[in-house]
Amino acid sequence: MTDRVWRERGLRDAVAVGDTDAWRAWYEAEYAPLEAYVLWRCGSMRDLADDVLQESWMTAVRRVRRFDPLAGPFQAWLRGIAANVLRNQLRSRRRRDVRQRPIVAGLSRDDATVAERERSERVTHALAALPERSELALRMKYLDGMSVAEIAAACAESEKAVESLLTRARAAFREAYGDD
Amino acid sequence: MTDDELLSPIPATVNQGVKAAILERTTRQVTLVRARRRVTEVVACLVCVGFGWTLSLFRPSPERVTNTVYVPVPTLVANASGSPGPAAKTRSATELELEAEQITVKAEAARRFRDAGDRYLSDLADYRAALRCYRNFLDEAEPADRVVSPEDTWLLTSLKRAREQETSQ
Repeated sequence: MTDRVWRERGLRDAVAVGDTDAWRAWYEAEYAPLEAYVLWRCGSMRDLADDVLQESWMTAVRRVRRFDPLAGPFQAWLRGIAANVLRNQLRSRRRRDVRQRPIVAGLSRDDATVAERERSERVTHALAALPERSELALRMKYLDGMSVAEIAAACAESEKAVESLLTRARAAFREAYGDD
Repeated sequence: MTDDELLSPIPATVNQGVKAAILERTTRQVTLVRARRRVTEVVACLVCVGFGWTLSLFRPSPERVTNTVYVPVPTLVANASGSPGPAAKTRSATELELEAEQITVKAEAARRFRDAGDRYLSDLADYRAALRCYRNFLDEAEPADRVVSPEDTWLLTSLKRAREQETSQ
């Protein structure tokens, strides 16, 4: 077992029995990467990202016993939770927007802000609509800033296959985004 | 906008307020877990104690069994006055025999010979010496003391019987 597995297992067990110091240390180490991921997935919509972050961390702390370090790093587990939370948030926001549209439409708003907001929402929905594999490829490329060779090494694929995957992922994103 | 523009993350600083708020809420949750765990432990202990106590109410108490153990207590041979003589208590068989040889009072000498014989027999298992002392005792003893009594040792009893037979013939 790797050092990461031992460290994360120790932290998980400590948190599971109520060690607040262990939790603080873990939270401090993992907060920034998770926030970056959530912001990316939310198209930089701060309000949505904050909601998702809050709910994701609460879910994580409640279910920390279920986290298995052998299955993957804690950050990956957190991202999985955040992705689910975001999906639920988008669903509930869509329902709410349908109900509130007449009222919101009446409010005076800066055109640029509205356009920016709309763009962010479309990015968020487009990313949420992507298959997991495509989302992973785009995340590694754009959020984590990995090169094609690094992605290929991480996914145990050839560089050619990764390039092909990225092309298909971009096409799927563009299609979901709905703009030519 | 290009894909790269849309997909590249917009640099943003960490929202410290949200971060602190989430940390506070999650830490409270962890503390709650600890408190819940302790309460569970205490409740589990109480349940166990209660269960044991309830069991003890319904279970009949076991019958008290008394085992009487007889412990042999060493007894001292009483002298004529009823209390054990100091010689019998502290002196060895050899010393008692020597004293008996030296004493001129017949009854006292007889008593010492008897004590010495008892000691030779019981402490040292020296039958030859015990036989010698018992013979001397019988020579010196009053007629009443020559009669077989329950306090006599087996060797003395045997000697007394032999003497009685000799006398009757």
